Amino acid sequence: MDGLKRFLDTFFDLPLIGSTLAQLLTEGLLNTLLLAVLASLIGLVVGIGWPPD
Amino acid sequence: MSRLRVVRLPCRVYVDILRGLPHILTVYLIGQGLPLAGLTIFGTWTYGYAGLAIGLMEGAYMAEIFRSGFQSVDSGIVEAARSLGLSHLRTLRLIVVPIGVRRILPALTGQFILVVKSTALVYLLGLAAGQREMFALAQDSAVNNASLAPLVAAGLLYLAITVPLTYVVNAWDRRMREPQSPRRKIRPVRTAEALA
Repeated sequence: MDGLKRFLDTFFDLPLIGSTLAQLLTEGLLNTLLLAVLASLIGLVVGIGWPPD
Repeated sequence: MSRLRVVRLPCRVYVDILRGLPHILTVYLIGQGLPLAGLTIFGTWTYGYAGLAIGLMEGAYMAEIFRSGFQSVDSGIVEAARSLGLSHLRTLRLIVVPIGVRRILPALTGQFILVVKSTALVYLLGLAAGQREMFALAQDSAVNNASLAPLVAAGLLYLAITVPLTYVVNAWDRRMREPQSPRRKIRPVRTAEALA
């Protein structure tokens, strides 16, 4: 039971998860989506331009 | 797809190398290698280098997806179009690309899911405070709080993005495999319109 408690305390600290989620939503989500769209556009251009064989 | 060896060879080499290297190594090679070599095409904008690195990696996979999609178009359809008098380019534009793109859309959406997950690699290049994306923020928070819970929070948000996209891909794929409804009217093809 001690092991399970340690695991839950390490990974599932709910107040910390809640505060981090709020920070991620306001700060990190937009940057992640921006990077994903940028990389996808570059990938599409390269992928269309360089079909192998 | 080209018959010219001089075109085909560099494409093959690019796709083989970019698909064969670990993503983490490619991000380092492009994200840190280009500025070190004096090619500061994006200045100090880390996202530009990360976007280029991830884009080049995904481009290699997308190239294979496009190739398989275009080559999956039945040669009989292409020959029929050519026998109607359509040029090679017009056959590509009116027949091969529309059919091929419809077939590869689920695979392309699946590739976008991989891109979203790959964005976490930008963390390797070092980010300023205002530039941090989800994984970098969670990693910094995990260090500051001496807990791995912030990484679980980041994982939940990644799941919130990727799981609905996965279901969209599956539904899309299923819909494309279903035979078309007999009640759906098919617009008659006007040969003169296609040839114009």
